[in-house]
Amino acid sequence: MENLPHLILPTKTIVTLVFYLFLIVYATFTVVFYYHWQNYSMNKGATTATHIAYFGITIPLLALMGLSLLAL
Amino acid sequence: MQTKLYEKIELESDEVVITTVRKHWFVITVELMVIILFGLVPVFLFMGVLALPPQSIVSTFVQTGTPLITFCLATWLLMSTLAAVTSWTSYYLDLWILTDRRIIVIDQIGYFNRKVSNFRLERLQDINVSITGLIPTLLNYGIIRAQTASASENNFISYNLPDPRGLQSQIQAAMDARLTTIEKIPDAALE
Repeated sequence: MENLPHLILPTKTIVTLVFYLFLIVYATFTVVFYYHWQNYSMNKGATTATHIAYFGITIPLLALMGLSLLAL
Repeated sequence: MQTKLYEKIELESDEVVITTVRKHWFVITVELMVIILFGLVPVFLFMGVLALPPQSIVSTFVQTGTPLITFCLATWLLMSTLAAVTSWTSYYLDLWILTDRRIIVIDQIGYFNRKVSNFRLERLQDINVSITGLIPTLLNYGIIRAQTASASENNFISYNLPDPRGLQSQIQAAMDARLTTIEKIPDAALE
């Protein structure tokens, strides 16, 4: 165990990696989510309301993640 | 009203939609409440930590590591939001359509499992309704099972449908009307 190389990264690097990873996950999820609602929903009003709620909640949270990353 | 879904499903000529049904509102409410509570757990923990004496190690970390904590909280809340959206999508896109000729059952299980099944009314044989438990009895939702005569079509079972007895009556009435139509015009069965 002692001979194994130790990989120690600073906290900011780890958090930055997590942030970018999460951005990829979020983008993929959003594409799948958008595709489903555009193709399978039968109610335009419900689709619009869902999209507004989704982006209205997730974009500020992503911005908060980005801002807190800058403050690290 | 012609809608996107029906364009995808492609109703037959002169086919009339009698009703469309989603799962009972209580089901999605409980799911969303659990996700919201789960999402708020770290917020409550954070508030609890803030109540600790100022000299404690945890409290000192909270004061110095605020951006990191904010990042973690935002990540957690975002993950909870994605879970809630997935739950809502499954609920809303999961649909039951009763027409004067068939029952269309759309099962949306998550994002990558979608099943659309058609059951001809003239081939339905037995429809069972069961309402089990205190809350389903009080809120009037339950399970509908139906058997089909056709070997090529499976039997179906749908959970948590609102007013299952009313739905059963509607299906029975639609079945009777369909059988009457077929008796009068035998070619109707081929449509």
